[in-house]
Amino acid sequence: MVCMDDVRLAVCEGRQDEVVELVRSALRDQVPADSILREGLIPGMQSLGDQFRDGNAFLPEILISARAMRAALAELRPHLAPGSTADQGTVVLGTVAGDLHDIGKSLVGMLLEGNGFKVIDLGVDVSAETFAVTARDQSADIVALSALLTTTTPQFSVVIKTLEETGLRDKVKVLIGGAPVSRALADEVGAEGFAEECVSAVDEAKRLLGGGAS
Amino acid sequence: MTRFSRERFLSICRGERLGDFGILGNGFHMFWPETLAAWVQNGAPPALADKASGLGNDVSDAVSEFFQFDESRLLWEIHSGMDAGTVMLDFGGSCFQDHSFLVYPPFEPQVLQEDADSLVFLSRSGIKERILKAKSFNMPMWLQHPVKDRASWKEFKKRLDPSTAGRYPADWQQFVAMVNAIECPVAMEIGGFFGYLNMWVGTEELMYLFYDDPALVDDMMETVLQLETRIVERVTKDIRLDFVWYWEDMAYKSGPMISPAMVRKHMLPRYMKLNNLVRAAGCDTFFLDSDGNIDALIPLWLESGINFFWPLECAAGMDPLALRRRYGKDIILSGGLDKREFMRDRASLRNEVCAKVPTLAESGPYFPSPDHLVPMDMPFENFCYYINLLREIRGDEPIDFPL
Repeated sequence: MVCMDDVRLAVCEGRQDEVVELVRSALRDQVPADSILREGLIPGMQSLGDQFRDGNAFLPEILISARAMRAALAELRPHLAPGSTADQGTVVLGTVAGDLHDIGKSLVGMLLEGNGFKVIDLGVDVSAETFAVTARDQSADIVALSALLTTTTPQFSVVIKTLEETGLRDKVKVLIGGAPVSRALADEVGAEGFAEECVSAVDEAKRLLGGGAS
Repeated sequence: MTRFSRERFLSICRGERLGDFGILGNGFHMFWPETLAAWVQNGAPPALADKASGLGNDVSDAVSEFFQFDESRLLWEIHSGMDAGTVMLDFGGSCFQDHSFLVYPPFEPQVLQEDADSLVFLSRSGIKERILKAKSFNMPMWLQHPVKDRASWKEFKKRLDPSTAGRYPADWQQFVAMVNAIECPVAMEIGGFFGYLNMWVGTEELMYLFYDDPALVDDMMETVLQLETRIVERVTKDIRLDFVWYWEDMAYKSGPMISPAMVRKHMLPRYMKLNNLVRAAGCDTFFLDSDGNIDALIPLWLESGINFFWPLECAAGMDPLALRRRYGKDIILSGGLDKREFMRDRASLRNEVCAKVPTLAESGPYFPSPDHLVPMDMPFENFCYYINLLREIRGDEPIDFPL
C-alpha cells in the first residue's frame, strides 16, 4: 500500500516520475482519488509553501514541485468526482493592458493549479473588457491581476471599474500582485486581495474564498 | 558633465572621504527613454530625448551635461557584458533597447511577425521577443530563448569566443591611449553568472535546469568565466580599471530566485577566480547590479570580494541604512532612494533624500541615486529639485534649471 507521506515528500521535492508512479500505484490499490489529493499531493505543495515562506525553498524548488503536482493531477483528475477537494475555485488570471511581463503571473497560475484551483490564464497585455467577459463566461470566483510597472498599475482601477459596470463586481474577488504593488495600493484601488509573491497568492486566494491560508 | 577624478572616486569607495559622494550619471542615474521623451514634451530641452545621442539607457552626453552629472566612463567598446553593444532598435517609432548579453557577433535583428498591435522580432542576442506598437518604448515579452538544450547551447557557445576580433576596438593601441588619458573613473563589465544564463535560457527553463541538468548550468557559467578571464587578462595588461561591473538581476520582490546554497555551489568559486584576477591588476572595487531583494545574497557576494551594490530597490524591502548598520564601511552602497517618494511631492522627496543621503555618506561609501531607472511618471521638476538637493547636501551651487 502506498504511504501518503511518500506522495507528500515526492511532490515537495519535485520528483515528478516518482510521484506519478506513486499515484498510479495508489489508484491500483483502490485508494480514493480524493484521499490521494487531500492526504498526499496538497500537503506536499503546502509543505513546500511553508519552506518557501521560511526562506528554505526558492524558485527552482517551487517550479519542479509544481511540475510534479501538475503531472500527478493529470493522472488523478479522471478519477476525481465533481466537487472534490480539487475544486477550490476558478481564477481568471492575467497581466494588465500595456504590460508584457509574464513570469510572475505564470508562476502564480502554476501554484494555483497545483493547489486545486481552475486557472484561466489570459496571458499578458489583457484588456479590462477581456478580464470582465472571461470572468462572466467562466463564472470566475477571483480575477487575479498582475502588473510590473508603476505606469501600468493604474490598470487595476480600470479593470475594477469595468467589473462594476458589467455587474460582476459583487460576484468576483479581485487579487493583485507585482513588483510595485503593496497592500496599501490594493486598499486604494479597492482590490480585496494582495499577494507579495507567488506562494502567498495561493494563501490569499484561499482566504478570499473563505478557506483561509493553509 | 563635471570633472570627477578617479582618485576622488576611489577615495570615496575606500571610506576615506566621509560626507563626500559622487552624483554619477552612467550606470547610476539612468532613465527610461520614455521618461526623457515625456520630460521634453513638458518643456525640457529637446536634446535630452535624442535617441541617437545615447546608448540605450546609458546616459547621453546631453543628459549628463544638463544635470551636470559627475563623469564616469564605462568601456562599452569592449564587448564584455550586457550594455556593451546595446543599440536602440526602432521599428517604425516603436523602440526597443536591445542588449547584447555578452553575445558576439550578435544575431541579425529581424521582424518575424507583425499584427495590428504588436511586433515579434529576433533580438541581437537571439531572443524572440514581442513588443507593443502603441508604445514608444517597450519592455519586451520574451517568447523564446536561444538555448533550449545541449545541442542549441553548443551552437550558441560559438558566439562566446573571447578571441573574436570584434569584441575589442579595431585600433587597440589608439583605444588604450584614449582610455588611459581619461581622468574620471573607468569601469568595465565583467559579466555575471546568473543574469546572462537567464537571458540565454529563460527564467523558468533555467530554474528547471538547476535540477534537470546542473552540469549544463555549470558549463554555461564556466564559459562565462573563461570568456571574462581572457578579456580581463587582455584589458588589464594595458588599461587601469577603477571598478568592474557585474550584472546579475537575480532577485525579485521577496528574495533571490535561487538559494544562497546554489549561489555558493555554482557561482561563488567563479566570482572568486575572476575577482582575484581583477584584484591582481590593482582594482578592488566590484560593482554588482541586481534588482529585487538581495539581502540574503550580500554576505556571499562580500565573501567573493564584490563590495558595491545598486540599485537597492525599496519596493523590494531593501534598506540602505540597515545595510550600513550591518556591514559598516566595508560595503559601498548606491541607489536606495525610493522613487515612489519622488513621484509624490517635493516634501516627500526631500524627506526621503534628507533621511538617507547625509547619514549614508557620512558613515561610509555612498553614491546616491533613485532605486532603479527613473520612470516616466516622475515629474521633470521633481527630478531637477532632487539634483539640486543633492548638490545642496554636498555643498555645491544649485543648477539654474529652465523650469
